[in-house]
Parts: sequence; C-alpha cells; structure tokens
Amino acid sequence: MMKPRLQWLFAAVLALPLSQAWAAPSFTNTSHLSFGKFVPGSGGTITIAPNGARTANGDVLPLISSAGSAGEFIIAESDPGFANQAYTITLPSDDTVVLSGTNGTMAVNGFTSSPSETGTLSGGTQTVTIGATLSVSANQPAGAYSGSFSVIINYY
Amino acid sequence: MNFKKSFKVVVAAAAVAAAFVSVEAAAASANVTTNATVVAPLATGATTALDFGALITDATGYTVQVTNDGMGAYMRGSSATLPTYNEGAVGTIALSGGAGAAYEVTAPATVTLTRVSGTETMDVSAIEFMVGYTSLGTDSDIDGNMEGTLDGTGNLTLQVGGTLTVGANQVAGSYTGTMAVTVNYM
Repeated sequence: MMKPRLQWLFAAVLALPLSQAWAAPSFTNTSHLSFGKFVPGSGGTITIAPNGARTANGDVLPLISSAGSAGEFIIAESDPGFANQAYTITLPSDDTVVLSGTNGTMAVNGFTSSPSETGTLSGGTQTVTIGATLSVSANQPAGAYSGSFSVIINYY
Repeated sequence: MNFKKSFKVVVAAAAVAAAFVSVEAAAASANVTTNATVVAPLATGATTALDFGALITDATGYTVQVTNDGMGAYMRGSSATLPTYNEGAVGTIALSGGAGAAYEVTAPATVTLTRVSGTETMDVSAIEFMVGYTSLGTDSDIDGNMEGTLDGTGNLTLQVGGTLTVGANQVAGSYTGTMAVTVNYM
C-alpha cells in the first residue's frame, strides 16, 4: 500500500529539473564581425572594437568604401524567471579562429565584447557586440575570407 | 519506519541533480559569422594622350571640348570651325586592382600646355573622366572627387576629356603638357 505512493513522489521531484532544461536562451546573430575591405601591403593588423570602430596597424590600408562592423547577437530568454538573469560571456581563445579564403587564411585573435565578461539581461534580452583583431600577412592573397566562432553565455 | 528513512535520502539526491541540470541548461553558445575582404593593390597601366587635334587660330579665340559622345566614341566640339583631319582623341588610363573596388580620381583643375620650342601657353580646364559612355561626373560627397568602381575583373579603362582654351591669334605650333592624375581606393 505504501510502496506505490513513494514512487510517484520521486517522479514528481525529477520532473522539475527536466522542465528547466528547456528554458535556455536563444541567440540571433544580427551582424557579422566584419573587417571590411583593405589592401594588405606589407602586412599588419586590423582591429574592430565592440562599438564597430576600425583601426589598422602596420602597412594595411583600410578602404572607406567598406568599413567593417562589430559582430552582434541578441540574447532572448523566454522564461520570465530569468528576465533579469546575470550571465558570463566566454569569448574564443587566441589561436582558435581563422578566416579562410580561396588562396589563404588569416587569424582572428584578441576578442573583446560589450558588455565585457559579464552582463545582466533586461526584460529577458540583451544585445552583445563583439570585436577582434585580424592578422594580415604581407601580400595576403586578394579575395573574400570568412569564418565563424562561438560565444558561450552562462547564467550564474 | 526503516523504509521512511531511506526515502529522505533519495529526495536529497534528486535535489542535487536538479541544481546541476539547471546550470547546464543555461550554458549556450551563440554562433557569429565573421569575414574580411582583401583587395589587390591599385595600379595604373598604359596611358594614351588627351589630344585636341589640329586647330586653326583666329582673331577672337575659342574653346574646344574633347569628350565622350555617349555612343562609344569621342567627340570634339567648339564654337569655331575646326579642320576635319586630325580630330584628336580622349586620353585613356588603364587601371587594375580589386574586382568591384570603389575608387576616386583626382586631377588638377587646370593643365597648362606649352608650345614646343616656345613659351606660349594654352590651358586645359573642365577635366572630366569617363568610363565607356558615362561620365564619372563629380560626386556630391565632401571632397568633390570623381568616383567609380572597378569592373568584375578588377580592370578598367578611364577616359579623360577636357576643354582647351585657344587664345586670340594663338601662336601656331605643337603644344604639350602633362596631367598628373591620382587614383585611390576609397
């Protein structure tokens, strides 16, 4: 008589964490992290700040006709219980992201973000922007280069 | 009694599992795409001269314009009567660089031609650049430079026209000058 009732209680406790597992935020990538167009010259770097500002170092000549942009994605949390949730941002480590083109590659390092390191959702949403530094070799082959990277958001 | 005790232990274990699952569920990754475009350096190649052709001086002076006629050839126009031989030609500058890259052209407002073996001069003004049948015109942005884009192969032939002012009783002879044209990516 007592044994069946006990099993039912255990099942109810287990069901709670399983429903929380589906309350993960969604992400929408609303802007590429773009370094724009440039002439490589004898090489150097191009940095995009999280606010989208582009700076070039070395012999790289950025072209104003294609100024690049910061990467941007929007965190959206549908569970009202997490509407003002604090979170951490984990950016890619150096030497892990590479842009590939038809005739070559370029490394992307020094990732930065806004907000930096941690943030807090407001009404279940927040926009995160991403910058980084692109390394350009001397006489980098001309063409379009592309790649992708992951940013990890962790509630805490 | 013995049985009830073991039940409490089971519940505690489930609660720990719940906390663990909820932390894992919140960790998620956003994929962001990234890109860049490397553009080949811009280079100028062969050039041909902007030629106003043969002209006849008169007592009042006049202007001669060499431009694109809008139908794939140059034209020479003037208020004066011009000889029909040696009708001149637009100048050309071959460009090569990045496919579809935007560029801007800067040229002097005036180029002075000087008579060979002499000191007399004539000025060329209203210098314009054309691609095919289309004048680049003057762009409305702040620098006022003429702008365009290279074609899909990164090559382009810029045509150069202008207006020559022939003075009253201009001394006969051959007149030459050099026009410094700068082409930059933008």
